[in-house]
Amino acid sequence: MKNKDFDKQWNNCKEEYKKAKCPLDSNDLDRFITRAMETTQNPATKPKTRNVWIWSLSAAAACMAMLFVVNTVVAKPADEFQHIIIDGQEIIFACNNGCSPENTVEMFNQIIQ
Amino acid sequence: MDNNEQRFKEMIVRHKDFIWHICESYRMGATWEVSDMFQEVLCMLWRYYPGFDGRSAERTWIYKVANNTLISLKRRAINRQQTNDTVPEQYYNDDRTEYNDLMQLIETLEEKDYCIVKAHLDGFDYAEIAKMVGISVAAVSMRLSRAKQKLRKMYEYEK
Repeated sequence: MKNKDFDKQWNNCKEEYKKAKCPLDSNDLDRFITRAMETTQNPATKPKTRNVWIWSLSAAAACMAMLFVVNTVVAKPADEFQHIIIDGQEIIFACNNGCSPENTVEMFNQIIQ
Repeated sequence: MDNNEQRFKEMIVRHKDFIWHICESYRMGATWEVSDMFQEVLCMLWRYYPGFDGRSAERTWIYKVANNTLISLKRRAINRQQTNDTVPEQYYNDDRTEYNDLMQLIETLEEKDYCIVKAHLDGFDYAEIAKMVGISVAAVSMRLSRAKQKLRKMYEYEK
């Protein structure tokens, strides 16, 4: 008997979702949907903002990289000027790497040879 | 209103009765009114709507999002009750006695079994439940049969 009772209840429960009825009228439902859309950030409405961020960060990173290159490789002012005399002729050159006149003379000699 | 919003709205209108039913089945006493739960579910559905690619049926996707939302709300409500040390609320107190009796027993099941049993009672077939819960169809069938046996025993003990 109890078994039959349980099965009956079980089957009744399986019908319950078919009987469900939302009590909200179309205006109320509209209000609920609008509120959901207003209060919740839908990622689909966000990519523009996200893209702006990504582009800004990328541009900033690219600028910094370019500044670094320009500053260190291209436009770095000379640390010092070296004067060396080779075959009685004075050569003046800018040196960025702290090179000594002896090293430079040696280097020039190697090139000439 | 853009296309996305229009499509979302139409989907909600199509499934409003079902969404309301899911919220009703998660009665949380005075802590959350059904309409509050309905609003919360709509918010989550809107949030995850862009991820809905139509691979599963609309009804299945709605059910999954709604259930996850309501389970986490329920957990929060239970935690709040425990920290406030208040008397537990009577969750099911409307006039659908038979449904409520059985739902109260189903509530005592382990979370996964609870989801499987509820989805079965809400008209989903084994394949759909398997997809939702992330287990095989055979496992759904086995767990459902075990849960039903357990419920039957509990029901007999209570009566």
